[in-house]
Amino acid sequence: MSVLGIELGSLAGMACPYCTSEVGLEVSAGIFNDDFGANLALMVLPFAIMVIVVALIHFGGPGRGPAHGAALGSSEGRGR
Amino acid sequence: MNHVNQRPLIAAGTMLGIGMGGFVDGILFHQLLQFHNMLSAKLPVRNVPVRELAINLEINMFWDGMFHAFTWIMTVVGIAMLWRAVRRDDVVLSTRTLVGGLSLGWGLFNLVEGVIDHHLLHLHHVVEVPGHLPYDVAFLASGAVLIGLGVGLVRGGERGGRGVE
Repeated sequence: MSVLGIELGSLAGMACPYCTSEVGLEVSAGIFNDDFGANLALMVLPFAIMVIVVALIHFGGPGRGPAHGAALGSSEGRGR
Repeated sequence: MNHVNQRPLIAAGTMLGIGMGGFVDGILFHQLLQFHNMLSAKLPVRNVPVRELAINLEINMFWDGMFHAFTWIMTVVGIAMLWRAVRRDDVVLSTRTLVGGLSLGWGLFNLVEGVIDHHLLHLHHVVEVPGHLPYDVAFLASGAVLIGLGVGLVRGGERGGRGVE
């Protein structure tokens, strides 16, 4: 078990090259700083807008129920 | 069946298209061609000292990973939506409609991501060079073309054949 623990520890060290070195600490400070939340929010913003557009396609716009027949175009009912 | 509702299939295709479009951006532009990274306009990786380059690249790599994580989530949600759509009795399984949705999603990704990240927030540009505007505009134009193609295919799917194509 202790060997496994050492191996996992060294693997974690390899997987996190910026955890220990001098440059690595600067990298870490460049990610996990006061801007982290803002950067995350800015990165998520386009995805949030796209999800809203998909929801509008799925459920229809305000004041519209789910469309029966066609969407984005002509209406023509068909059986499967 | 009395009526048809193609919205679930279009929405599923659009969500999958957003995910696939995001992966095209991330894999092609961020990794293979290395035109830009997520924050490469704020943390440049061109014409900077080697030490700063290493630090900025690592930070950008982290945010590229976050971008890919959200792109992956969009793709998974798209697969779930597609699974729900194909199990509905009122959804006609039209290939044109699905491909139209995929094109719509990819175009939507290029347009929304382009406007917000490239033009409004300046997080990065398609190519990180001083004259980046033509490349950014071309990216938006590709989005508009893909959306137009998607709308055309969706409408064609609705007018097209009956049942599973």
